[in-house]
Amino acid sequence: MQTMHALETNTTIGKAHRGRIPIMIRTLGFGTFLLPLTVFMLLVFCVPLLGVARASFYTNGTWTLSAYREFVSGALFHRALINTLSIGFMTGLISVICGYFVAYHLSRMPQRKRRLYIILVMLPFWTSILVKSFAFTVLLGTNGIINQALQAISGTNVVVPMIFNRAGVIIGMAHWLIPFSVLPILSSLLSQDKALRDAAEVMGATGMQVFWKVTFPLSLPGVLASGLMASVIGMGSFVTPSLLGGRQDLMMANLVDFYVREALDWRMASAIAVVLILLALLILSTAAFVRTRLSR
Amino acid sequence: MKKVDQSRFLTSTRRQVLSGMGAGLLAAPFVLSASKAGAADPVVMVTFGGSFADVVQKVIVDPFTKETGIAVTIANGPDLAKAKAQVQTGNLEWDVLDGSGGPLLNAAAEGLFEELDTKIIKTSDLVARATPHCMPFLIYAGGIAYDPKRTMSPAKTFADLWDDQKHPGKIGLRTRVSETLELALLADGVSPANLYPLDVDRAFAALDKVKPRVAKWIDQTPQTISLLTAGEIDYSYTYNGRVATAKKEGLSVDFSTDQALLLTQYYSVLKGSKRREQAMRYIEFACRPDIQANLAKAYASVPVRPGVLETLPDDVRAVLPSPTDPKMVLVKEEFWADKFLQLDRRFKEWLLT
Amino acid sequence: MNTLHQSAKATSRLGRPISASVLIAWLVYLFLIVPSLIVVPMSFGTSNELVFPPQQWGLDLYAKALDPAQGWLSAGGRSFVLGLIATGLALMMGVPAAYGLSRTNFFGQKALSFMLLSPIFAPTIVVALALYLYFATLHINGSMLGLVMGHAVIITPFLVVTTLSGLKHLDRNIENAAMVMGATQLQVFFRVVLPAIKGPVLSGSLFAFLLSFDEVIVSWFIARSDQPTLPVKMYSSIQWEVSPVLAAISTFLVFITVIVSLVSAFAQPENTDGF
Repeated sequence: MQTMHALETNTTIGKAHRGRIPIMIRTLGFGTFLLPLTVFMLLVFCVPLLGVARASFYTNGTWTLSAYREFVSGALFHRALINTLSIGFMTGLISVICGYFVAYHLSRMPQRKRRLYIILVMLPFWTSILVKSFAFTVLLGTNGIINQALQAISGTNVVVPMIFNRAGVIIGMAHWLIPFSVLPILSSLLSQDKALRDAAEVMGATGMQVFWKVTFPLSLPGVLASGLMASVIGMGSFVTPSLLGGRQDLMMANLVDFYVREALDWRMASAIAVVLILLALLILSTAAFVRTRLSR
Repeated sequence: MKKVDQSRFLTSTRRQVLSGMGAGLLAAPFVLSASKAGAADPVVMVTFGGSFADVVQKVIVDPFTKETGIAVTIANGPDLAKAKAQVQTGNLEWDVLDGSGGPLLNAAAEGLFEELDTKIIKTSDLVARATPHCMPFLIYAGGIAYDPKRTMSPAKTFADLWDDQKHPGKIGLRTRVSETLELALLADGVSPANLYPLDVDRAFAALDKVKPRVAKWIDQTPQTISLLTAGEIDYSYTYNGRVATAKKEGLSVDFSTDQALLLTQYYSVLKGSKRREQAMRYIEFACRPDIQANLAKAYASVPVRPGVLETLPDDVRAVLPSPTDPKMVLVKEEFWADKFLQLDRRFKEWLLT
Repeated sequence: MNTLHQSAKATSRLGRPISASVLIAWLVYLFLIVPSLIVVPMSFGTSNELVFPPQQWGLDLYAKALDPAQGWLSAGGRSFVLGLIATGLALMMGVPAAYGLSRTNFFGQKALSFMLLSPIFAPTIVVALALYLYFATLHINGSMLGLVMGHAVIITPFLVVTTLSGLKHLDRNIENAAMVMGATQLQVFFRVVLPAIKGPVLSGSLFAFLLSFDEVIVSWFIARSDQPTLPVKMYSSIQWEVSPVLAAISTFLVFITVIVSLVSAFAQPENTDGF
């Protein structure tokens, strides 16, 4: 109760002050902050990408929607679309949950220790996926370390299939995406005003109450941001599914890779890529909409 | 009010930038025509990295340069998308491309390559077949590998592999439609002589039978061995050279020589190459009988010129599959030129259901 | 406010919220490092095949990885330099942009932020192809410039995201106060905002650097084949086999990272806020 009050006061003060600042300096000034990256992205990302997107409509000198028609009518693309959405959602969810525990743990330690632990979180990046997939086979395979341990403990021949199926894809991708989700959550946890938590504790709130009433709600924007990011990155990956997935785990990005590099059908590849980007846009704008609704 | 100012500021900037970019893009073709790559520069041949490139350097490139004075540079990673981009932008980095399988033949059908110059290259008198754009320079075998310590009475032919009563076990097959359909038809009892044109429906029906036993459809070649040695699969469709290397390193792997697909690796010249003639001469050199013999000794490949195999020492011949052996099936790669895309699509859908 | 802060410290030590969470956090750490731990013993094998556990032990793979003639060292050095330059470029563009985005609210701002972050959402293979075609017309394929630009496109959005989440909780009153006192926008940015978000920016940069160091698809297209980055060299060495030299390289990198971070962590003074 008290904490909620403290929160509100804090934000009202912020709003009152914002209005007083001369707006002209702000608008023009902030434009200059945005300018370099905007120009860079236009020149080095948008222009090249538009060139590719154009290829999805323009083939052999004519404008056509044939690639999109093929996409809408092809069972292959429907399956890949469903796989992409469900794998992306699952990995995003798991990465955020795992990432939250790590970020929370990190946020409660002194800085020196935290630096070391962040390095620990980033450690997987130093190991190439090509080698990592081998390590995962050793770990998760039917003859792998985990299954052998399970058999030794249970005294049975039980085999838990954890690789070359959907579980394998999600495990592999979560392993890759957890570091991505830790950072935004961590920085939103760290930037919380510790005084709020302290106040709540002084008022007699238990640790659990403090967490659920103060810490967690305040970290929600970070959680949402990192969850979306992890999902959307997961949706665009193809190396992990091809190394650790089963036959039914084909994703849209696998198709993009195939059409770009083997089939050389860039019309189709671009069309799938455009759909993938639009999908990301749809998810993000829905999330933004829900968020503004919730915060109202 | 002020907010509008800001957005106008941004849009006008964007527009200026875009129009500037437009001018740049329009100018691009003119910049391109100024690009210079003379006939005196070395021929760039793109091939697969690692130990194979070392063999090619020693066996083909070095003697070629010594004999003709034409320098050849080896580049890594023959990515067809890069080749297409080079041809499309007219900005060639490579002259000769080393490739194989359905995707290569499909790329040839797309017009990525120069026609082979039959005045320089002898496209007849070959064990494998040349296509108008692709010259065979190496033959290798794809077949069944197993762990002799684990599998006492292994399946040695494709029909055996399909028989899960006599030869149970988990299988690793490739996600490539070419090779896989041929394999399935042979397993189903189609005689090698009647293999082509492929009976596609029958092939898929045969694949249906083995589908539940396939533990992994392998996309990346290294997994064809690593999954076998890790015990994740009992049989793997892989390549003779690959198994030979693994064996040399002390791994318990064997390759069945009772039946195998013979696959062709080709050289092609990128369309618009400034060093077209030198490139063609390089290809002809690579296929010369003496060079082919050296390649077979160094890399355990089957020579493409008839008669060369017979001249090889016995110990080399012992590990090489022979194209004249009726148990060996030479894959007719040109079958895939116009059917690759369509059949691959069907295969991918089949995998998903 | 400050006294409250002090007095509450004692209780916060006692009331440890959800201590099971620490256990789960440790399980996640374990999950993250286990594959690297499996790779370590493989790197001490002698065979040219990837096997676990190795049949014979030796340092052959390290000798190979560190032999200049094999090219791994120069590829590693190239990736390191590329990572540094690309991260520097990302910092110079990304941090101001994040600040600009977080402090404005204009028509089309959502669209602009989507555009600035969109390289995260676009499939990398398409970005790679688009850049390859584009750079071909600009004649910068195969150059360091091309690689730096390509990497900056990929990594800058991540730096923007991390910086944004740091900025979100920054108390604007301080900025406002500084401006009321007559500080210019730039002064506020450099003197007030930057020091306050140092932590997220630093860890975001580390992350950006690692992304660049790990990036394979864009580099695969843009890098000159005789001057590969480390991941490209790794990728192109696997037509037939995953060379166990990769295990040695991974272990070596992990080892170096741990040493460097231990040294730097203890060399720096303790400071309880920020990253």
